[in-house]
Amino acid sequence: MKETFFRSMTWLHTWAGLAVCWLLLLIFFAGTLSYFRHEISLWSKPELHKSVFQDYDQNRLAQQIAQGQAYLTETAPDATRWIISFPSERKPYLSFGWADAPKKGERRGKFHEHVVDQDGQQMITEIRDSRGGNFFYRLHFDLHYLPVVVARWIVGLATMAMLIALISGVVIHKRIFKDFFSFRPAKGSRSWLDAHNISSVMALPYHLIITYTGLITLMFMFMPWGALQQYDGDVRAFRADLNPARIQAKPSQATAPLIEAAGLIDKVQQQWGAAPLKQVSISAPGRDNSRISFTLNSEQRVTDRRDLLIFDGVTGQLISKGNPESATYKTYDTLMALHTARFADWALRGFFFLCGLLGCAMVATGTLLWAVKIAQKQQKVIQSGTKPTVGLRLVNGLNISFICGLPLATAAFFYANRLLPLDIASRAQREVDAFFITLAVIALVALWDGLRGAQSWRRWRQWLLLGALTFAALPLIGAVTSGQSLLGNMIDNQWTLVGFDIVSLLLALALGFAARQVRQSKLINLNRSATSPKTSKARAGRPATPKTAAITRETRDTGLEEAHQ
Amino acid sequence: MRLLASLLGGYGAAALACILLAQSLPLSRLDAVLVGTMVSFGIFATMIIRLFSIRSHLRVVLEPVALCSLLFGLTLVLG
Amino acid sequence: MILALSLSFIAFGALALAMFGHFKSCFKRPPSQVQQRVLTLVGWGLLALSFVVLLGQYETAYATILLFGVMSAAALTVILLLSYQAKRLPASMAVAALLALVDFSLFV
Repeated sequence: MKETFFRSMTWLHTWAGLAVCWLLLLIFFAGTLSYFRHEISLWSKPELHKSVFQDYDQNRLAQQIAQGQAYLTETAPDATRWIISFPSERKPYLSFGWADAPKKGERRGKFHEHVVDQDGQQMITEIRDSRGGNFFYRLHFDLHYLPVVVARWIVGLATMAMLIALISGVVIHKRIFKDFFSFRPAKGSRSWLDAHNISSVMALPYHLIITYTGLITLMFMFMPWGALQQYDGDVRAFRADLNPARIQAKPSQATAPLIEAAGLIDKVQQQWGAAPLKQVSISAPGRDNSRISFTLNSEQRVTDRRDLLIFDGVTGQLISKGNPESATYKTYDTLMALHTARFADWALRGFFFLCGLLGCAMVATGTLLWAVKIAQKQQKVIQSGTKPTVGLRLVNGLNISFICGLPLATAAFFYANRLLPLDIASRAQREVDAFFITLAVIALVALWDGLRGAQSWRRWRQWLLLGALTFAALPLIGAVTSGQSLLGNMIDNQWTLVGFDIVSLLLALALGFAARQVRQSKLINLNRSATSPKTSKARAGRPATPKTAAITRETRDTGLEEAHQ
Repeated sequence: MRLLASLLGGYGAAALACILLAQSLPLSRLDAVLVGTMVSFGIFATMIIRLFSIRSHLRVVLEPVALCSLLFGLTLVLG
Repeated sequence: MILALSLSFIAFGALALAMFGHFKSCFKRPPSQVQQRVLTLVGWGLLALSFVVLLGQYETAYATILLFGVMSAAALTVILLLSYQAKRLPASMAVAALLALVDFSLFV
C-alpha cells in the first residue's frame, strides 16, 4: 500500500497497535495478575488465614471424603453438585463446596465453599463474599458489564490485532539482533522506542505464544465452521468428542441413594496408584443419574486437560472414557496449557508474570512513544501557548487513564476487599465497582485536564506517587484487617501471603521510581523551561532546528521513524 | 476500504480453509477439526498482512474474492 | 534454578560484550576480532549449558518453557546493567560465576 513493504508494515503496525492498545493494556494487565489468581483469592479471604493450612495427605483421603460427603448431605442435600477439594500447593486447605441449582436465565448456580479447619473438626463457613483473583481472570476475556459473548468477540478481535502488530513489528525491526541489548535512557523518543523494542523482543516467544494460544482458547467460538460442518451441526456430539470426561449434570427427577464415595478409593488407586488427587466431585447427589468423579492432580505435566475417573453414583461402576490420545489432540492440549499455565510451579509462574509485565510495558511504551511523537510534531504549537490538537490530548488522556489507572484501580479493589463491611449486599460486585470507579475517576480528571489544555507530566507524577503510597500501605492495611502481619506470616510459613505483601511493596517501589523519573522530564524533547539542567545541557549540543531536521537527526538509525516523514 | 476487505476476506478465507481442512485431512473427525481450526487463525493473520502490503486497490478486493471462491470450490469438490 | 539463571546471565553478558559498542562502554577499548569470536562462542555455549542444567532438574517440556523465562529475565538484567551501570557488567558476571559454582557444588 505504501511504496515499500517495509513502510506498509510500519503503517500497519502503528495502526493495528493504536486501535487496540488501551484495551490490550487492560487485558494483558488482568491476564498477568491472573497467573496468581488463587493466591490473590486466598489473600482476599482473611477468614482463611489462620488455621486452615494443611498439606495433602494420602492417608487421610478416605476419612476426608467420608467427612465431606456427610457434611454436604446435611448442609446441601439439594445441590446440583458437591465438590470435595483436597489441599494442593496453590489452595493449601481442605474444602467442601456445592453448587446450587441455576436460577432462571443462569447457566450455573451459585457456588458455596466451606473450609475445614486444621484440626479437622471445625468448619469455617462465613467467608466474605469476594471474587478475589477470579475477578482479574474473568476480566481478561469476559471484560465486565458486558454480555459475555460480546466481550469475547471484542477480546478476540483485539487479540487478532495484537497478533498482526507483533508480526508486523518483528518484520520492521530490522536491527533486531544489532539492537538486542540497546537501551539509551533520557533521549526522548529514542528511549521510548528502545524501551518498546526491548519489552517486545526480550519476551518475543512469550508474546507470540500467549497471543496465538489466547485465540486458541476461544477458537471454537470464533471459528466453529469446521466443527459444525463435520458434525452436521450437532454441537453436543462435538463437545462429547472433545471432552468426553465432562458430565452433563442436569439432575434427573428420580431419586436414588448415593453410595459412599470413600469406598471407591481402592478402585481409583487401581488405575492411578498413589498419584495425588485434586478433588472428588459428586454431581446430582441423591438422584438416579448421580456421578462421582475423581480428578487427578496433574502437577507439572504440560497439560490443561483434567484426568477424571467417573463412577456411577448409585452402583459404583466405572463409566468414564479417557481423554483423546492423538498427537493432534495433545498439541491442542499443550497449546491450551501454554496459555493457562496451570501446570507451572510458582517459579515458572513468576517468569510468566514477568513476561506478562513486559507485555504491558510493550503496549504502554508503544502508546507513549506515539504520544511523544505527536507532541514533537506539535512542538511549536505547544510552545507558543496554543492548546495542542484534540488528537494529542485524547491520546494523552487515554494513556494516563490506563497506565496510571490500572494499578490504582487494582489497589482500590484490594482496599475495598479489606475495608468494605462484610454484610452489605452484592459485596463481591461492590469490590469490582471500586476498581472501575477508580478508573473512571482518573479518566474524568484526564478529561478535565484535556479540555482545559492543561495535561502535563505533573499529573502523571501525582497518580504514580499515589499508586506507590497505596501499594506501600497495602501490607499494613492487610495486617490490620486480618490479624496476621507480614512477619507473622513468615513465621508461619504462609508464603502465599508473604508473597502478596512482597509483590505489593515491589510494585510500590516501581511506581515510586517511575514517579521520580517523570519529575526529571527527559521524556519529551521539548524546549520547556521546567527541565533539569542535565537535559538542557544535552540538548544544547543539538541546535534548535525546524521539525524535519530534528526528526531526521534522530531517525538515522530507525526505520520506524523514517516512515513517519 | 482495505480494512473491511482484509477483515471480511481474511475471515472468510480462514473459515473456508478451516472447513476444507476439517473435511479433507486423513485424520479422525475430531483431529481434522482441531487442525483446521487451529491453523485458520494463521491464515487469517497472513491474509491481513498480505492485503495491507499490496498497492493496487483492485487486487485488495480481487485476491480475497478469488481465494475464497477457490476454497469454496474445493470444499464442494472434496466434500 | 540459580545455576541456570547465573549461567544465562553470564551468557547474555558475553553476547553483549561481543558487540562493539557494548564492549567499549565496559572496557573503554574496542574488542579485537578474536575476543569477539570467543565471547560469542562462550555466550552461546553457556546458554546451551543452562538449558542442559534445566533438563537435569525438570522434564523436557517443562524445562524448555522454563528456559525461555530464564532467558528473558537474564537478558533483561544485562540490558539494565549496560544502560545504567555499564562498568559493573563484567564484575556482575564474575559474581554470577561464583554463585553458579556455589550452587553447583551444593547441587552435586
